Amino acid sequence: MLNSLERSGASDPVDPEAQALTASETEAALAHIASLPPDQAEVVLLRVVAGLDAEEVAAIVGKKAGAVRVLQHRALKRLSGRLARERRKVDVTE
Amino acid sequence: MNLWSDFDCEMHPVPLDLDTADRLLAGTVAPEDAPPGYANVARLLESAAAAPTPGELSRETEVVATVAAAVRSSSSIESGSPRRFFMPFALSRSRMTAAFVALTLACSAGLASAGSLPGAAQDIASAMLAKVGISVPGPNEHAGTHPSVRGSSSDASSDAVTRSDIAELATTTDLTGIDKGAAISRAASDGKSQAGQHGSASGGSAPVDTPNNGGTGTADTASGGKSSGTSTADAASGGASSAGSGNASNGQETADSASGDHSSVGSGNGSAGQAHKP
Repeated sequence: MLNSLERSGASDPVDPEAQALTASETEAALAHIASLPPDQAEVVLLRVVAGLDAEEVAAIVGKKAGAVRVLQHRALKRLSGRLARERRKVDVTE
Repeated sequence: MNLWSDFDCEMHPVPLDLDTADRLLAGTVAPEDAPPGYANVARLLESAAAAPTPGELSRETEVVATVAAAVRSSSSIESGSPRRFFMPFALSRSRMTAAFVALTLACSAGLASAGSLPGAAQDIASAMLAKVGISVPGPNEHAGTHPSVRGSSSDASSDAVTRSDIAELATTTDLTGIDKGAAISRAASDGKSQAGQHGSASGGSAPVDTPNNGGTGTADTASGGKSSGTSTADAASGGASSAGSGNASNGQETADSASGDHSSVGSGNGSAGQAHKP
């Protein structure tokens, strides 16, 4: 997952192989997001996949915009920690 | 390559502020520009927001309709949900106090205008409200021709008969009995007492002669016909009365015992008449 993420910047969206790779990366990214606590995952998915801003997400999930920002902040911190642990594991195995 | 990417994953992540997190999720921060430790997060978010595949685009209409319905239902639930209670204005402590004082003043003014406050309070309320131009009745406005029964300590010291006066009257008067008591009572009450004027034994005469034979006839006579005799005595005494024609031979003792025990009619009046007979 981490390697695919690092490679994604060089992938060609026109190439079918690159498209398949991007699709798998998308699935992997969504899997990562889905592993977050439900409220954080909901906020991140609405922000990233649906493309809504914090106020719109707040209106949907029934929270204040500030609470949504706190949730997404915690979600990114959690994602960062997980990705860092994965990278350390990869470095150890390599 | 920039400053952040030089530190990416090589150093501990810096604390992420809310605005940066918001921009990362908005996709406005490239992975190369992300803070240390968040470059992979930025890439992950890019991947999650990647352009849809042709297979996904084929279901776009269905997905959009589903999401739109979900958004509408969530919005309607939110608008009708009592999750938040918005007050039209913040009730500070001073506002609460002012409201309480205003309410108290309004209620007091209403009671004062109706003359329903106690005398002293009505007097004070009348004086205070008069200063702000509100006319309310005084404590004696509704008294009419009745004299005020309230007094003051100065009245008591100047007009009231002292205890020593009463004691002197009680020890020096030549009167006896009811007349003495009535005189003392009149003096103590400043002439208001009517003691001794009603029910005086000297003013009346016993309806029956004593000694008498008692019984129903005597009780009827003594009560001025108000006694209904044996049945009333029985009823009044709960069946314990032995008065009546059957016990007429017992005479006055029977009537007295009946009246002394339970009965207060008939024979009781008879005994009272005997007692007051001079």
